[in-house]
Amino acid sequence: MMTTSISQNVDHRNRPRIVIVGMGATSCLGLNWPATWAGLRDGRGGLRRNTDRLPGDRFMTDIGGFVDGFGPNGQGCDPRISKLESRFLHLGLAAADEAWKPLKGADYDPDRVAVIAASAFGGVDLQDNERLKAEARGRLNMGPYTVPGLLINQLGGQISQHLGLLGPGFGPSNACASGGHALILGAMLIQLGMADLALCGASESAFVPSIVNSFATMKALAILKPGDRGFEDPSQASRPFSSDRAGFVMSEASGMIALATIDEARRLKLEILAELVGMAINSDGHHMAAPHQPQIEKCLRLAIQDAGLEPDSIDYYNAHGTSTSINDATETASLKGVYGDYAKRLPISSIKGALGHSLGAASALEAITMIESLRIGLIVPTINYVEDTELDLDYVPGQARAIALQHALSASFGFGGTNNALVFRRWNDD
Amino acid sequence: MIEIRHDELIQNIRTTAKIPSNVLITSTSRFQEDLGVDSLDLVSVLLNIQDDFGIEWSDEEISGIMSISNIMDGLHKRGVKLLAA
Repeated sequence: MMTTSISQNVDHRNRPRIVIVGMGATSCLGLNWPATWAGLRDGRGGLRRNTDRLPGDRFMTDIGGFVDGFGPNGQGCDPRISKLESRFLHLGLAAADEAWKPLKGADYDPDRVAVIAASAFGGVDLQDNERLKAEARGRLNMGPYTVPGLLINQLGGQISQHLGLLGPGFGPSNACASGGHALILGAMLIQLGMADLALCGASESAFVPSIVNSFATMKALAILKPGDRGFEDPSQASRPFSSDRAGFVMSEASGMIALATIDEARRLKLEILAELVGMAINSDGHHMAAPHQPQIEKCLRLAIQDAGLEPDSIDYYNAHGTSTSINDATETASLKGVYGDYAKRLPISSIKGALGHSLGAASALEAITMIESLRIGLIVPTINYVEDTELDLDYVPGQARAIALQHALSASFGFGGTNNALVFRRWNDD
Repeated sequence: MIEIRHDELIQNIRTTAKIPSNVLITSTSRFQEDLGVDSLDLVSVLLNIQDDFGIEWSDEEISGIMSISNIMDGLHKRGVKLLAA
């Protein structure tokens, strides 16, 4: 096995080593990463009922994860982008501000900073609002900011404009794998020599009837009935790997991560939070929506190999763990396929019990969670867990677990058959 | 006859186009030069006047609107009565 030399600035494949130097997030647990982390660490659930955002005459559920007191049109509106009334832009720019804070005023070359800001659905909320207004109008139709606010790549555009980052940019859209894909694209651009730094991640706010109700009719979304524990207490609506899991619960969120080469991080005297040592993307070629175990297993193996590690070097797996019947069963089977007997000793947790499923943003938040877990030596729990005899791995139920971690793995799988996996290493001041 | 309060109309324009409160809006203010309102903002302004006051604008009118007074003229032409605050 090849191992990463800690004395070099390149990895075992002779690529520049990539480190994390900033993180930011918004979620239903808080308006920044520390607040989100505190909620995850303490096992708090952020999901709730909101009939203002999800009225019963338009939506098949009123339970979700909402970033309260923030966004366009009202309290917490960012004046820099007040004309762009799509929530994913406001959430994403806030996370970008937070992630870039350590670099504010630093002596970097703005032309050498990549911005990779992903989303599955972009500004669909603005599009829906404008459509409703247009239907009530005569001949003048959609507002002029509908197109700029709808575009997925507008998030990267606004980050570039307001943080002054002028290197290569992409707005990838890969369903529920978007955030992880963005990180990998950012790291690739650095390793290709096209950037020294990259601000990468994703943002999502897609609470519109066409999306919520379509997820519901697909039987992917949790539509809970009276008597269900999640109906009575919405914070228990999302329960990954549990015997009574009943589908995912949609949420809005954003997560952004600042990547750098080790050389650039040291030159700018930045605190290094962790190292991104392995990454993989592949495709199922199988089905429009169903996950595909052989390709998921392959993706996990490729990321571990990319890190120059063996599977049993991974100390923690942060799961896609959506709380759908098919995902959690397929993911569990995939882990058994990759790890064999070691799968039962590998701590696994899903933050979607607490945060719901923020679609394109989810894997960015999961990457940030892994980085913090490695830093602190703490695995956040899978909340709302009730044992399922068929899913028999260690899902770290209920309470956080303090444990020394060296390597952590996360994966995400998107509709359209797209997968990614990321391996992070604890930073040991080397 | 439609009646619109002058101050409500001005506030509607200010809010829609995000014109800062320290920028004075008068009947002679030009959108681009005096108020910093670009062509996209202007369409938003006209759409909001349509939504809030029920006034529709033709394409020909929209392309000719350069100032607050152009909007006032369009309202007068429709018989709208502007009321003082």
